[in-house]
Amino acid sequence: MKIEDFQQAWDAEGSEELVLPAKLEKLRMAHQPIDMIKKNMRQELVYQSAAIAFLGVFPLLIGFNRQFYFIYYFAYTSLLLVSAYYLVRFYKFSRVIHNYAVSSLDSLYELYYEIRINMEAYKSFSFLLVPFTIVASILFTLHLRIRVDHDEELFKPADWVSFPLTIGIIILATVWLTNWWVEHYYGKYARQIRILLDELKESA
Amino acid sequence: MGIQAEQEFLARIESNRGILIKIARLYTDTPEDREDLIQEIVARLWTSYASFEGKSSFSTWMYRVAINTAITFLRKEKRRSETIETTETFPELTTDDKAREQAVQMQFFYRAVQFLTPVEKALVFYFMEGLSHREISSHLGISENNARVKLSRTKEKLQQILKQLGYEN
Repeated sequence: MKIEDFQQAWDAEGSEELVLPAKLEKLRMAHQPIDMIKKNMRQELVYQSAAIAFLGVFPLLIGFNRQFYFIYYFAYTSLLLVSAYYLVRFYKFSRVIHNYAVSSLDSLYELYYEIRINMEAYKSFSFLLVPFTIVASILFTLHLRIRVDHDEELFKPADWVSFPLTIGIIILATVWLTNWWVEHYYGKYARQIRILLDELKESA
Repeated sequence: MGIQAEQEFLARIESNRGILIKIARLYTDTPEDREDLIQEIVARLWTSYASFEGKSSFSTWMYRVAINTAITFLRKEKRRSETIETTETFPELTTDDKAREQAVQMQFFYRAVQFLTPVEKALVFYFMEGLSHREISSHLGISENNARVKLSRTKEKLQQILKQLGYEN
Protein backbone atom coordinates (compact mmCIF):
# COMPACT_ATOMS: atom_id res chain seq x y z
CA MET A 1 0.00 0.00 0.00
CA LYS A 2 1.33 3.43 -0.97
CA ILE A 3 0.20 6.95 -0.24
CA GLU A 4 -0.20 7.41 -3.99
CA ASP A 5 -3.07 4.91 -3.81
CA PHE A 6 -5.16 7.60 -2.17
CA GLN A 7 -4.63 10.04 -5.02
CA GLN A 8 -7.89 9.37 -6.82
CA ALA A 9 -9.92 9.64 -3.65
CA TRP A 10 -8.02 12.81 -2.71
CA ASP A 11 -8.75 14.43 -6.06
CA ALA A 12 -12.44 13.69 -5.62
CA GLU A 13 -12.39 15.42 -2.22
CA GLY A 14 -13.59 18.92 -1.47
CA SER A 15 -16.58 19.15 -3.76
CA GLU A 16 -19.08 19.45 -0.92
CA GLU A 17 -20.77 22.74 -0.28
CA LEU A 18 -18.94 25.32 1.73
CA VAL A 19 -20.96 27.94 3.55
CA LEU A 20 -19.08 31.19 3.43
CA PRO A 21 -20.01 34.08 5.70
CA ALA A 22 -22.01 36.90 4.17
CA LYS A 23 -19.93 39.53 5.94
CA LEU A 24 -16.18 39.02 5.92
CA GLU A 25 -15.62 41.61 8.67
CA LYS A 26 -17.53 39.40 11.08
CA LEU A 27 -15.12 36.51 10.76
CA ARG A 28 -13.49 35.51 13.99
CA MET A 29 -9.69 35.44 14.15
CA ALA A 30 -8.78 34.07 17.53
CA HIS A 31 -6.99 30.80 17.01
CA GLN A 32 -3.49 31.97 16.24
CA PRO A 33 -0.73 32.38 18.85
CA ILE A 34 -0.30 36.00 17.84
CA ASP A 35 -4.01 36.68 18.37
CA MET A 36 -4.00 34.97 21.76
CA ILE A 37 -1.06 37.10 22.83
CA LYS A 38 -2.70 40.28 21.57
CA LYS A 39 -5.92 39.36 23.38
CA ASN A 40 -4.04 38.68 26.65
CA MET A 41 -2.06 41.89 26.29
CA ARG A 42 -5.17 43.96 25.62
CA GLN A 43 -6.80 42.58 28.76
CA GLU A 44 -3.70 43.24 30.84
CA LEU A 45 -3.31 46.75 29.46
CA VAL A 46 -6.76 47.61 30.79
CA TYR A 47 -5.79 46.46 34.29
CA GLN A 48 -2.39 48.17 34.07
CA SER A 49 -3.97 51.45 33.01
CA ALA A 50 -6.45 51.22 35.88
CA ALA A 51 -3.60 50.47 38.31
CA ILE A 52 -1.57 53.45 37.05
CA ALA A 53 -4.60 55.74 37.42
CA PHE A 54 -5.14 54.41 40.95
CA LEU A 55 -1.50 55.12 41.88
CA GLY A 56 -2.09 58.72 40.81
CA VAL A 57 -4.79 59.26 43.44
CA PHE A 58 -3.43 56.86 46.05
CA PRO A 59 -1.61 59.55 48.12
CA LEU A 60 -4.78 61.63 48.24
CA LEU A 61 -6.85 58.66 49.38
CA ILE A 62 -4.63 57.73 52.31
CA GLY A 63 -3.79 61.30 53.35
CA PHE A 64 -0.16 60.94 52.41
CA ASN A 65 2.27 63.25 54.20
CA ARG A 66 2.44 66.38 52.03
CA GLN A 67 6.24 66.59 52.41
CA PHE A 68 6.51 63.47 50.27
CA TYR A 69 4.24 64.67 47.46
CA PHE A 70 7.07 66.12 45.42
CA ILE A 71 9.19 62.95 45.45
CA TYR A 72 6.15 60.70 44.96
CA TYR A 73 4.78 62.60 42.00
CA PHE A 74 8.23 63.02 40.48
CA ALA A 75 8.58 59.23 40.51
CA TYR A 76 4.98 58.90 39.35
CA THR A 77 5.62 61.17 36.35
CA SER A 78 8.54 58.95 35.34
CA LEU A 79 6.22 55.96 35.68
CA LEU A 80 3.64 57.66 33.48
CA LEU A 81 6.18 58.45 30.76
CA VAL A 82 7.59 54.92 30.74
CA SER A 83 4.10 53.42 30.76
CA ALA A 84 2.91 55.69 27.94
CA TYR A 85 5.84 54.58 25.79
CA TYR A 86 5.12 50.89 26.36
CA LEU A 87 1.35 51.20 26.11
CA VAL A 88 1.73 52.87 22.69
CA ARG A 89 4.21 50.20 21.69
CA PHE A 90 1.87 47.37 22.73
CA TYR A 91 -1.03 49.11 21.01
CA LYS A 92 0.95 49.29 17.76
CA PHE A 93 1.82 45.61 18.12
CA SER A 94 -1.89 44.80 18.49
CA ARG A 95 -2.53 46.52 15.13
CA VAL A 96 0.20 44.72 13.19
CA ILE A 97 -1.13 42.36 10.53
CA HIS A 98 1.04 39.32 10.20
CA ASN A 99 2.09 38.33 6.69
CA TYR A 100 0.85 34.80 5.98
CA ALA A 101 1.58 34.95 2.26
CA VAL A 102 5.32 34.25 2.55
CA SER A 103 6.94 30.83 2.84
CA SER A 104 6.15 28.84 5.99
CA LEU A 105 9.68 29.26 7.31
CA ASP A 106 9.61 33.05 6.87
CA SER A 107 6.12 33.28 8.32
CA LEU A 108 7.12 31.23 11.37
CA TYR A 109 10.35 33.21 11.90
CA GLU A 110 8.43 36.47 11.70
CA LEU A 111 5.84 35.20 14.15
CA TYR A 112 8.50 33.87 16.49
CA TYR A 113 10.44 37.12 16.60
CA GLU A 114 7.30 39.25 16.91
CA ILE A 115 6.33 37.21 19.95
CA ARG A 116 9.84 37.13 21.48
CA ILE A 117 10.39 40.87 20.99
CA ASN A 118 7.08 41.69 22.64
CA MET A 119 7.78 39.28 25.48
CA GLU A 120 11.08 41.08 26.12
CA ALA A 121 9.35 44.48 25.85
CA TYR A 122 6.79 43.30 28.38
CA LYS A 123 9.56 42.20 30.74
CA SER A 124 11.49 45.47 30.44
CA PHE A 125 8.26 47.40 31.06
CA SER A 126 7.74 45.45 34.24
CA PHE A 127 11.38 45.94 35.37
CA LEU A 128 11.15 49.67 34.76
CA LEU A 129 8.32 49.84 37.30
CA VAL A 130 10.71 48.67 40.03
CA PRO A 131 12.31 52.09 40.80
CA PHE A 132 8.85 53.60 41.29
CA THR A 133 7.80 50.69 43.51
CA ILE A 134 10.93 51.17 45.64
CA VAL A 135 10.45 54.94 46.01
CA ALA A 136 6.74 54.52 46.76
CA SER A 137 7.45 51.76 49.34
CA ILE A 138 10.07 53.88 51.14
CA LEU A 139 7.82 56.92 51.21
CA PHE A 140 4.92 54.86 52.47
CA THR A 141 7.07 53.42 55.28
CA LEU A 142 8.23 56.88 56.29
CA HIS A 143 4.68 58.17 56.10
CA LEU A 144 3.54 55.48 58.53
CA ARG A 145 6.38 56.31 60.93
CA ILE A 146 5.57 59.99 61.06
CA ARG A 147 1.86 59.35 61.34
CA VAL A 148 2.35 57.23 64.47
CA ASP A 149 4.90 59.47 66.15
CA HIS A 150 5.53 62.99 64.77
CA ASP A 151 8.81 63.34 66.68
CA GLU A 152 10.22 60.06 65.50
CA GLU A 153 13.35 60.25 63.36
CA LEU A 154 12.70 59.53 59.71
CA PHE A 155 15.54 57.08 59.35
CA LYS A 156 16.74 54.59 61.94
CA PRO A 157 20.08 52.77 62.10
CA ALA A 158 18.29 49.50 61.36
CA ASP A 159 17.22 50.96 58.00
CA TRP A 160 20.78 50.38 56.74
CA VAL A 161 19.88 46.72 56.77
CA SER A 162 16.11 46.63 56.33
CA PHE A 163 15.90 49.01 53.37
CA PRO A 164 18.49 47.32 51.12
CA LEU A 165 17.01 43.97 52.13
CA THR A 166 13.49 45.07 51.18
CA ILE A 167 14.71 46.61 47.94
CA GLY A 168 16.57 43.40 47.11
CA ILE A 169 13.44 41.35 47.79
CA ILE A 170 11.31 43.68 45.63
CA ILE A 171 13.78 43.41 42.75
CA LEU A 172 14.14 39.63 42.99
CA ALA A 173 10.39 39.12 43.37
CA THR A 174 9.66 41.36 40.37
CA VAL A 175 12.21 39.61 38.18
CA TRP A 176 11.01 36.16 39.19
CA LEU A 177 7.30 36.97 38.93
CA THR A 178 7.67 38.77 35.60
CA ASN A 179 9.69 35.96 34.07
CA TRP A 180 7.22 33.40 35.33
CA TRP A 181 4.22 35.40 34.11
CA VAL A 182 5.62 36.08 30.65
CA GLU A 183 6.89 32.54 30.14
CA HIS A 184 3.64 31.04 31.42
CA TYR A 185 1.22 33.19 29.45
CA TYR A 186 3.24 34.05 26.35
CA GLY A 187 6.25 31.73 26.28
CA LYS A 188 4.15 28.67 25.46
CA TYR A 189 3.25 30.19 22.09
CA ALA A 190 6.87 31.04 21.31
CA ARG A 191 7.90 27.49 22.27
CA GLN A 192 5.19 26.03 20.02
CA ILE A 193 6.51 28.00 17.04
CA ARG A 194 10.11 27.14 17.94
CA ILE A 195 9.18 23.44 17.67
CA LEU A 196 7.82 24.03 14.15
CA LEU A 197 10.94 25.96 13.17
CA ASP A 198 13.17 23.18 14.48
CA GLU A 199 11.14 20.69 12.50
CA LEU A 200 11.78 22.62 9.30
CA LYS A 201 15.54 22.54 9.81
CA GLU A 202 17.68 20.49 7.47
CA SER A 203 17.22 16.76 7.90
CA ALA A 204 20.38 14.90 8.84
CA MET B 1 -11.86 47.19 0.16
CA GLY B 2 -15.21 47.61 -1.52
CA ILE B 3 -18.17 45.34 -2.04
CA GLN B 4 -16.99 44.44 -5.54
CA ALA B 5 -13.61 43.26 -4.23
CA GLU B 6 -15.38 41.27 -1.53
CA GLN B 7 -17.65 39.59 -4.09
CA GLU B 8 -14.70 38.82 -6.35
CA PHE B 9 -12.76 37.41 -3.40
CA LEU B 10 -15.67 35.20 -2.30
CA ALA B 11 -16.12 33.91 -5.84
CA ARG B 12 -12.43 32.95 -5.97
CA ILE B 13 -12.67 31.21 -2.61
CA GLU B 14 -15.74 29.35 -3.78
CA SER B 15 -14.00 28.05 -6.89
CA ASN B 16 -11.03 26.94 -4.76
CA ARG B 17 -13.08 25.62 -1.84
CA GLY B 18 -11.52 22.18 -2.18
CA ILE B 19 -8.26 23.58 -0.79
CA LEU B 20 -10.04 24.87 2.31
CA ILE B 21 -12.00 21.69 2.89
CA LYS B 22 -8.97 19.44 2.51
CA ILE B 23 -6.73 21.54 4.74
CA ALA B 24 -9.43 21.78 7.40
CA ARG B 25 -9.84 18.02 7.40
CA LEU B 26 -6.08 17.47 7.55
CA TYR B 27 -5.54 19.80 10.49
CA THR B 28 -8.62 19.18 12.61
CA ASP B 29 -10.60 16.22 13.81
CA THR B 30 -13.86 17.74 15.00
CA PRO B 31 -16.56 19.63 13.09
CA GLU B 32 -16.25 22.67 15.42
CA ASP B 33 -12.49 22.91 14.95
CA ARG B 34 -12.97 22.46 11.22
CA GLU B 35 -15.44 25.31 11.08
CA ASP B 36 -13.16 27.52 13.17
CA LEU B 37 -10.16 26.76 10.97
CA ILE B 38 -12.04 27.46 7.73
CA GLN B 39 -13.26 30.73 9.17
CA GLU B 40 -9.76 31.59 10.34
CA ILE B 41 -8.24 30.83 6.94
CA VAL B 42 -10.86 32.84 5.05
CA ALA B 43 -10.25 35.77 7.42
CA ARG B 44 -6.47 35.58 6.88
CA LEU B 45 -6.95 35.31 3.13
CA TRP B 46 -9.20 38.34 3.19
CA THR B 47 -6.81 40.48 5.26
CA SER B 48 -3.93 39.43 2.98
CA TYR B 49 -5.95 39.82 -0.23
CA ALA B 50 -4.74 43.38 -0.79
CA SER B 51 -1.18 42.04 -1.03
CA PHE B 52 -2.13 39.49 -3.70
CA GLU B 53 -0.49 40.90 -6.81
CA GLY B 54 -1.37 38.14 -9.20
CA LYS B 55 2.28 37.19 -9.79
CA SER B 56 1.33 33.61 -9.02
CA SER B 57 -2.05 31.95 -9.48
CA PHE B 58 -4.72 32.55 -6.84
CA SER B 59 -4.60 28.90 -5.77
CA THR B 60 -0.81 29.01 -5.27
CA TRP B 61 -1.15 32.13 -3.11
CA MET B 62 -4.06 30.51 -1.28
CA TYR B 63 -1.98 27.39 -0.53
CA ARG B 64 0.57 29.49 1.34
CA VAL B 65 -1.81 31.58 3.40
CA ALA B 66 -4.01 28.59 4.21
CA ILE B 67 -1.16 26.27 5.19
CA ASN B 68 0.64 28.97 7.21
CA THR B 69 -2.59 29.64 9.09
CA ALA B 70 -3.29 25.94 9.65
CA ILE B 71 0.25 25.17 10.88
CA THR B 72 -0.11 27.54 13.84
CA PHE B 73 -3.83 27.03 14.38
CA LEU B 74 -4.67 26.52 18.04
CA ARG B 75 -7.35 23.93 18.42
CA LYS B 76 -9.83 23.95 21.28
CA GLU B 77 -8.34 22.32 24.36
CA LYS B 78 -9.47 18.76 24.79
CA ARG B 79 -8.00 15.39 25.53
CA ARG B 80 -6.60 13.81 22.41
CA SER B 81 -5.38 10.29 22.02
CA GLU B 82 -1.66 10.27 21.26
CA THR B 83 -1.56 6.55 20.62
CA ILE B 84 -2.88 4.79 17.60
CA GLU B 85 -5.91 2.71 18.45
CA THR B 86 -5.66 -0.39 16.31
CA THR B 87 -9.04 -1.61 17.51
CA GLU B 88 -10.85 1.27 15.85
CA THR B 89 -13.59 0.21 13.53
CA PHE B 90 -14.15 1.65 10.12
CA PRO B 91 -16.96 0.79 7.74
CA GLU B 92 -16.23 -2.23 5.64
CA LEU B 93 -14.98 -1.61 2.15
CA THR B 94 -17.32 -2.41 -0.64
CA THR B 95 -16.17 -2.18 -4.20
CA ASP B 96 -19.60 -1.88 -5.77
CA ASP B 97 -19.88 1.76 -4.86
CA LYS B 98 -16.80 3.73 -5.90
CA ALA B 99 -17.78 6.94 -4.17
CA ARG B 100 -18.38 5.07 -0.95
CA GLU B 101 -15.10 3.24 -1.28
CA GLN B 102 -13.26 6.50 -1.73
CA ALA B 103 -15.06 8.03 1.23
CA VAL B 104 -13.97 5.16 3.45
CA GLN B 105 -10.44 5.37 2.06
CA MET B 106 -10.31 9.06 2.94
CA GLN B 107 -11.70 8.35 6.39
CA PHE B 108 -8.67 6.13 7.03
CA PHE B 109 -6.40 8.68 5.46
CA TYR B 110 -7.59 11.63 7.56
CA ARG B 111 -7.58 9.52 10.73
CA ALA B 112 -3.97 8.54 10.06
CA VAL B 113 -2.92 12.10 9.23
CA GLN B 114 -4.03 13.24 12.71
CA PHE B 115 -0.93 11.50 14.09
CA LEU B 116 1.40 13.64 11.99
CA THR B 117 2.94 16.96 13.02
CA PRO B 118 1.69 20.23 11.45
CA VAL B 119 4.74 20.40 9.15
CA GLU B 120 4.28 16.78 8.07
CA LYS B 121 0.64 17.53 7.29
CA ALA B 122 1.75 20.42 5.08
CA LEU B 123 4.11 18.08 3.22
CA VAL B 124 1.34 15.54 2.71
CA PHE B 125 -1.03 18.23 1.49
CA TYR B 126 1.39 19.65 -1.07
CA PHE B 127 2.33 16.15 -2.25
CA MET B 128 -1.29 15.11 -2.69
CA GLU B 129 -1.98 18.35 -4.55
CA GLY B 130 0.67 17.28 -7.03
CA LEU B 131 3.37 19.84 -6.26
CA SER B 132 6.94 19.03 -7.21
CA HIS B 133 9.76 18.89 -4.66
CA ARG B 134 10.91 22.29 -5.86
CA GLU B 135 7.44 23.80 -5.38
CA ILE B 136 7.08 22.21 -1.95
CA SER B 137 10.49 23.56 -0.93
CA SER B 138 9.51 27.04 -2.12
CA HIS B 139 6.22 26.99 -0.19
CA LEU B 140 7.86 25.77 2.99
CA GLY B 141 10.99 27.89 2.62
CA ILE B 142 13.39 24.96 2.86
CA SER B 143 15.89 23.44 0.43
CA GLU B 144 14.72 21.07 -2.27
CA ASN B 145 16.78 18.26 -0.80
CA ASN B 146 15.35 18.87 2.65
CA ALA B 147 11.82 18.78 1.21
CA ARG B 148 12.58 15.49 -0.58
CA VAL B 149 13.98 13.84 2.57
CA LYS B 150 11.17 15.09 4.80
CA LEU B 151 8.49 14.05 2.34
CA SER B 152 9.94 10.59 1.97
CA ARG B 153 10.05 10.12 5.77
CA THR B 154 6.55 11.46 6.17
CA LYS B 155 5.15 9.11 3.55
CA GLU B 156 6.83 6.19 5.29
CA LYS B 157 5.44 7.29 8.65
CA LEU B 158 1.95 7.71 7.24
CA GLN B 159 2.08 4.26 5.67
CA GLN B 160 3.06 2.77 9.02
CA ILE B 161 0.19 4.55 10.77
CA LEU B 162 -2.29 3.37 8.15
CA LYS B 163 -1.04 -0.16 8.66
CA GLN B 164 -1.47 0.13 12.41
CA LEU B 165 -4.98 1.45 11.90
CA GLY B 166 -5.73 -1.74 10.02
CA TYR B 167 -6.01 -0.27 6.54
CA GLU B 168 -5.40 -2.80 3.82
CA ASN B 169 -5.89 -2.02 0.18
